[in-house]
Amino acid sequence: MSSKAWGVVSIVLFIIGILLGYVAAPGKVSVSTTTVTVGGAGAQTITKTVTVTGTAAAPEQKEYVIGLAIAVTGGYAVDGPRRRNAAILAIEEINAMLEEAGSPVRLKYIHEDTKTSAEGAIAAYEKLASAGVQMVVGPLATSECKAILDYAKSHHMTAISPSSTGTAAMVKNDYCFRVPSPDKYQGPALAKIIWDQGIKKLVIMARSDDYGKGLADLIEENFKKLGGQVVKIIYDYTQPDLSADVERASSAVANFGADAETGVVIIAFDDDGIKILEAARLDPTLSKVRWFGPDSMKRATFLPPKAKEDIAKFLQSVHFMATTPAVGSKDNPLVKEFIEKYTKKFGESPEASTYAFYAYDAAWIAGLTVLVAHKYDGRVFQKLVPHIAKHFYGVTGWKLLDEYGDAAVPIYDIVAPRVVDGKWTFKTIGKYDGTTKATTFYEQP
Amino acid sequence: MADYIIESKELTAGYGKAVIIQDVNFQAERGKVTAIVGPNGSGKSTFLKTLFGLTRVFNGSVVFDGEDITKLPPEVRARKGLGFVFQVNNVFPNLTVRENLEMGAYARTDKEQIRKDMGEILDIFPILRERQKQKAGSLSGGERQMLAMAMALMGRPKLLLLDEPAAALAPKVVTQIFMKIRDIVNSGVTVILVEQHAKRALSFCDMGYVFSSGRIVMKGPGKDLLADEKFVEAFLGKR
Amino acid sequence: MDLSIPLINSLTLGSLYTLMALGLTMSFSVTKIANFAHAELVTIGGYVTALLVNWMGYGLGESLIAAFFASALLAVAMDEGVFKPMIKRGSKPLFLLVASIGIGLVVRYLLFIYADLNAVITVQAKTNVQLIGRFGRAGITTIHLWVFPITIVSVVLLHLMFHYTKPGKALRAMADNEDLARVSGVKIYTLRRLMWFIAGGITGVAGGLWSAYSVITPEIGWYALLRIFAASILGGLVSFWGTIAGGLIVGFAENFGITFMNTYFNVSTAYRPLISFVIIVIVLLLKPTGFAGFDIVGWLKEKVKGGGE
Ligand SMILES: Nc1ncnc2c1ncn2[C@@H]1O[C@H](COP(=O)(O)OP(=O)(O)O)[C@@H](O)[C@H]1O
Ligand SMILES: [Mg+2]
Repeated sequence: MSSKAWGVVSIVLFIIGILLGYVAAPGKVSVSTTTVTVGGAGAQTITKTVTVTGTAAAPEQKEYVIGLAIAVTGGYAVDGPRRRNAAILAIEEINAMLEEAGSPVRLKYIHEDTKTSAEGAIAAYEKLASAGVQMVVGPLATSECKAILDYAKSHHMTAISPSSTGTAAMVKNDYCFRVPSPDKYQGPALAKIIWDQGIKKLVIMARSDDYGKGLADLIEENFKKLGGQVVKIIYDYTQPDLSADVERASSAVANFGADAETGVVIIAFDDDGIKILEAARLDPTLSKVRWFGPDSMKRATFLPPKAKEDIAKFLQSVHFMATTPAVGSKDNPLVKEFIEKYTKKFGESPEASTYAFYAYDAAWIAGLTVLVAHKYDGRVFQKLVPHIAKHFYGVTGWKLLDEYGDAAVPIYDIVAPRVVDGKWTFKTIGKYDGTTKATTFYEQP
Repeated sequence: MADYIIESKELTAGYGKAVIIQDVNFQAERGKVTAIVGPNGSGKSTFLKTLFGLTRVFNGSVVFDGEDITKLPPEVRARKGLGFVFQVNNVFPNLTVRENLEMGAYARTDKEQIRKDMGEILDIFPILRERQKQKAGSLSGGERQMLAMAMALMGRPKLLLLDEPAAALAPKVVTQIFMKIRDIVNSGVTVILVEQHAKRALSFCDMGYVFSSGRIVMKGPGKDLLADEKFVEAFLGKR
Repeated sequence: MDLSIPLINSLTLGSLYTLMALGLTMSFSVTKIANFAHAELVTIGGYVTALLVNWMGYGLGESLIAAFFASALLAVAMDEGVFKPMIKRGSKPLFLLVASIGIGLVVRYLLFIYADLNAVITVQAKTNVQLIGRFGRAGITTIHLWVFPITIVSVVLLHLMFHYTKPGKALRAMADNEDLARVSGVKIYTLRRLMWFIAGGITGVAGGLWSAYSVITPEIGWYALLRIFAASILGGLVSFWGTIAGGLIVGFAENFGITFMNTYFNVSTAYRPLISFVIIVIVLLLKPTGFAGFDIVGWLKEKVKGGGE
């Protein structure tokens, strides 16, 4: 082949390569929105060691250390400090409790910033290890948890994460426990909630990423177990137009019969969600049936002022409801007290951060475990945590753990679009409790 | 002294970094036919393009009608009265024959006169009148050559550059084309004619130039060159 | 099987792709640049429309006019700022193509930053889109009343311009043979600017319509680019009517084609972009001239070979 011909071939390959790459590329990660607020209560990012001690040092006083490996810089610069504050509040409460009871034992904490990165998490664990710490609250992200798994195990450091929910850190017999329920519990919960609404036939529209496909499969599996029928439509969320997918959903609903026994589940993020809802609201078939969604649908994107009012009205007209991990449930008496104490101490309500509630429970479980063990040894803690958690009911509910060491009893709030004080919001209208698998509504869905 | 309509002085030009023609001193007398002959690849087309500003000039100048036009872009030269019929790709294949002719008159604004000229031109080239609405790309070689010349004439040039207008045409058509060229010259247009066929060109022209490897190697009245033994030996002998 | 919904969807998408692809065809045929930054003309038009409607309370019509001018000026700026200087320095088409990818990236990510700061990474022009009638099961909405007439009027106006005005004919002449156009007295740089202005403008209007029809992100144009190229390549990258047919074919293929394959062969709709891709490959392999005119592969070969008349 002549060099000219090679030239032609290489250019054609180059162009095809570009196009192929373009087709094959999984949805690109868009630049995420990060608002950085500086200041505020407890927003300092300096690592510091604080000893919380009682007034009179009794001769036999004993002190146990709890590490806080919580990111307060990087992606968690805003939410991290809130979670750390909640954990500190828990430790102070335990000390106050011990002091009042006349116990000589106290807890102290050491905070290390994991900087929202895998390397940062390992570095924080190394520092805590050199300080002899064997019980740690944190890290926050699934990626950070995954990074410290081996280190924690080999150094006998028991970790309790307040916020990791990803499957990547779902490991049996490890040293990492997780107090929020992982993503996998949302599928069964949603299937049950929908089934309880009298829906027998379900059309699921899900985005083609791990989250969408995984959740769609779980809903399908559980809904079928309950006796229902399911049609799944996995759409490519990178496409500029999704009208063909909406049309398929519409046909599927028409085949099932557009009546009270048929429902639609939409598992979308922002722009794909709007594309679907904008097309669906003009479709008579899809407007006739009930719609449901997971926590990803509880977004300001779908309500005014960000979205058109027409979209919110459509969601309301199809009695849309979404599940979202419950924290601060109205009927949990611990919640009110926590919110009051936290607000008093830090000048801001913990409701700003869902996971501050989990951090509070994580620190309580960590503290109770250390106290019960009476021997400062991570190997002991690792065996104790599941038992302590099983008998623990906190601001985020019952903390029974599953075989992976993750919270097994999910509690989801059920939210629906409503106008409150002239503003559209997702209002909590009910609750799903994994303990009883029962749905309670505070108002008509 | 002779009245030269165009003149090049020490002209060196080419494409990109490549120098193709060198130190070309050339004159064309007003109202006459000046022929350029020479072997394939000797730079004849490049020279014509250079006169029109379509190449890169490294050195020298082009003077047209007493004005130095070396730095002017082609579209401005066209407006000053230069016309060009390319050797190849000399019509717009996706435009109709009529649109091609209109493009020929693009730089002109005298609408009335253009319409008259259009009629006249279509009289001169009756075959084009028949094919007015046809796409130029569908014409035969001879017809296309006619159209190319007709287009150039629609611009009412003072000087017309013709690059091998008879190449690859049937002998009968060649005769026709040369008759048209004669008519054009008779109507007062100066013509510079590039031809491979040296005998035909030199017997047709007033003045002849011989190019070889980008340089002028001989010049003189066409008849004299044809009679020159050295020339015949070098350029016609092999034929 | 009721086909009314895919039919209306196909016509809507086909119209929008047609508008976008006409701009690409115009700029390619005149300049021979395969402009990947064409995508950003769509996106800018979309953002200008959405932000004027949402923030300034302008009507859709006024906003589309603004989108026309914004994308038109961006297109002219791309050419004046990058392509023209490169061509004057003798750049090969391949370098121009790479440069266009670069321009696209820069514009796209600048827009990303802007959209991020203003919380409009996803945005929809909040126009009052209402159902006004039905065609079978398909709803006809006010947005269709914008899309179809604008497409038809644009096509008619462009046709009139190309065939009945002097600059329009000169543009066609330039597309055929730039040197010949120059020696005929055509001021090619002025016309080039006019061409970019119009091509950019209609592309921007298409983006604006998209922002009202659906929702846009800073990547909307980039994601539409494959279809735009498919439509234009079906017309050989230079043919006006070929591009219109191409736009409609892509619109129909993506709706009917995927519905058909999904129904009968259980192919996931996620493979939809493959249809455009297959169109491109088939055209390039079997009929490099598209429906009309231009031999893309031949042209590429010649350019790779370099130089030579
Ligand atoms: N566009 C161009 N770019 C680079 N070189 C060229 C170009 N056109 C012609 N040449 C070269 O210039 C030389 C002279 O060509 P040309 O002027 O066409 O000769 P002629 O018309 O006498 O046959 C040849 O070597 C040819 O390869
Ligand atoms: Mg030549």
